[in-house]
This record gives sequence, structure tokens and C-alpha cells, in this order.
Amino acid sequence: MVEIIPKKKREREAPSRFNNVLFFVFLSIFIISLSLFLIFKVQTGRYQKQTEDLSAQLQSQKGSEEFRQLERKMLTYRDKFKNISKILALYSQPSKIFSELLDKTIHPKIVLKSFVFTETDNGEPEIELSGYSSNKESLAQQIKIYESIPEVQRVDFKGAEVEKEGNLKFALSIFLSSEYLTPQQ
Amino acid sequence: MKFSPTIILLLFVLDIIIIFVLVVPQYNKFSQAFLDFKTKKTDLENFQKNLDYLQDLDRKLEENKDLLAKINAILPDSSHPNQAQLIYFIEKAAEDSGGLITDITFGRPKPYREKNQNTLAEPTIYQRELSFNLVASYPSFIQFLSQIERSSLFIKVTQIDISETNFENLLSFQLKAQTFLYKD
Repeated sequence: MVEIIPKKKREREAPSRFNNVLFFVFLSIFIISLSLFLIFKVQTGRYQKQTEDLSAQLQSQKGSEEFRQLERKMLTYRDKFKNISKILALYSQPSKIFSELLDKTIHPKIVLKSFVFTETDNGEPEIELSGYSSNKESLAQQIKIYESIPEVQRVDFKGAEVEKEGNLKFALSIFLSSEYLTPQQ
Repeated sequence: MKFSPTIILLLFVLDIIIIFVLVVPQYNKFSQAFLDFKTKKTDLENFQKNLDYLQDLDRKLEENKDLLAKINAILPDSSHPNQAQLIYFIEKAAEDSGGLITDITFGRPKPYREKNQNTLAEPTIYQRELSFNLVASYPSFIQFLSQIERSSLFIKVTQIDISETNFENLLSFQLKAQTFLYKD
């Protein structure tokens, strides 16, 4: 009997201790949860405030006159650099028509009276010439000379008429290749 | 101390409520706020890097003023068209060659588009037609034309009409040319 009594006591104390442990565990969880909630709340507010500050700082820097001017200047130059090669590709030397085509190939018996050079939108040069020739042979030879030039694509003879002095008044068009006026590499 | 199972159960329920009603939503808010902060911080850092890069580019451009001057001569801003410069250059070139410019007219700038360029895209390059009349001898004209072609102002001659004048050895040269403008 002496041994039985303490055994009963132990059986009764066990749930009570277990309850205590559970209580303190739950209480700890409660305190930790509340603490975490407060910490998160404070930190959230702090980060939100810092984010707002950074946003304002970013906006003010982006909107600053110095940055806008710099950005505009750089975008302009970027665009200009991009387009400059297109513009330079349009470069042509019409003086070649005179120095390399007309001056060197003019027939001694031909006198040019008018000259019109036009570069079409496609960059194809066209020359309209009119003048006088002392005879038909000279005019035919002049046309042949023009036709023999590799860069001449086509020579259109517009017509000729005999003047009072016996000269032959003529008109013709010369079509050149679009590469003719571009400088040689 | 003795705690009744009811109190323990209530505390347990309270824990669950606090965790799921307060802590978890607040943690989500905290995570979002932290993420927003990090994103904004990265944005600001990237912006600062871009600004430094632009400032560095600007410094390099300023160091190459000659190059900028050449680009601006070929493609001046529409807000600063180089009309006076062009007139001065053409008249000076004519004078140096022994000729005389009798008139100069500028056309209205028109959008410049390449053959295959989308016509809906806002053009930034404008072409401006320039017509002028030169009275000079033939050799003077050749010299004048050569100066025009070598000019850094990029004057593209597109039409030349030569006709006689009442003066011996003097011809009239009617020229049409194109220059370009940049409009942003």
C-alpha cells in the first residue's frame, strides 16, 4: 500500500504539468507572433517610407533640367550618327560630268549651246544637250563617242535640223549610271 | 500554477488567429514593401549608372568638338538652320572663283524618306531645296562647283542648267541643290 499512493500522485500531476507546458508554449507563440507582427509592421512602414523617398529622388533626378537636356542631346546625336551615313551615301560629284565626260569627249566640230543636268529622285543622272554641228558625220561621231563610254547607259537622239548657216542644230539626252557621280573608293 | 484546458485551448485558438490574421498578412505586406524598396533602389542605381554613362559620353563628345561641328554642318538642327552660313559660303565660293551669284532662294523643308522607309514613321531628316543663279565663265563655274562639292556643309547639286548671257564668255548657271536638316 505504501508504494501505491505515490504512484497515484504521479498520475494526477502528469496532466497538470503537461497543461502548464502547453500553456507556456502557446503563450510563447502568442508573444512571438505579436512581436513578429509588430516588427513586420514597423519594418513595412520603414521600407514604404524609404521606397517613397527613393521614388521622389528618382523622379526629381529624371525630371531635372540637366538630365533632360543631356538625354535630349544624346538622343539627338545618336539619331544624327544613325542618319549621317544615309546622307553621306547621297554624296555626288556632278563636276565629273564636265571634267571627265564633256570636256574630254567633245568633238572638235561640235559646239554645245545648252546643257541641263538633272539628278532624278532615284539618283540617276540625266543630261540634256543641245548645240550645233558642222555636219551630220561629226554629230554621228559625237553620239558614238558618248555611247562608247561605259558609264553612259543610253543616248537618246532628240532630233536635228539644218540652220540657215548650214549648221546642224541638234538635241540629245544622255542617261548615266547612278554610280557615275559617286566618288570612287 | 494550474491552467485549465479551456484557457489553453483559447490560447491555442488565439495563436492561430493571430498567426493567420495578423502575422501572415503583415509578413506578405512586409515582403512586398521590401521587394518594392529593392526594385526602387535598383532603379535608382541603374538611373545613376545611366546618368554617369551619359555624362561620360557627353564629355567624350565635347572632347571631339571637330567631329560634332562636322556632323552639325552636314545635318544642322531645324531650330538652327544654317541658311546664313550657306548663303555666305555660296557667295564666297562664287567670288573666289570669279563669278557672281545673282539670286538664292530656299524651299520649304520636306521630310526626307528613303525608298523603303515606312511612311507612317515620324521623319527626323528633312531636305531643303536651294536654288541659285551664278553668272561666270566656264572655268570659274568648274572651280565653283568643285568648291561646292568639297564643302563640309553638304550641298548636293541635283540640277544644273547652263544658258548663254548677253556678255561674251559669261554663262548663266542655274543650279538646284539639296541640303538636309535634323528635326526631332
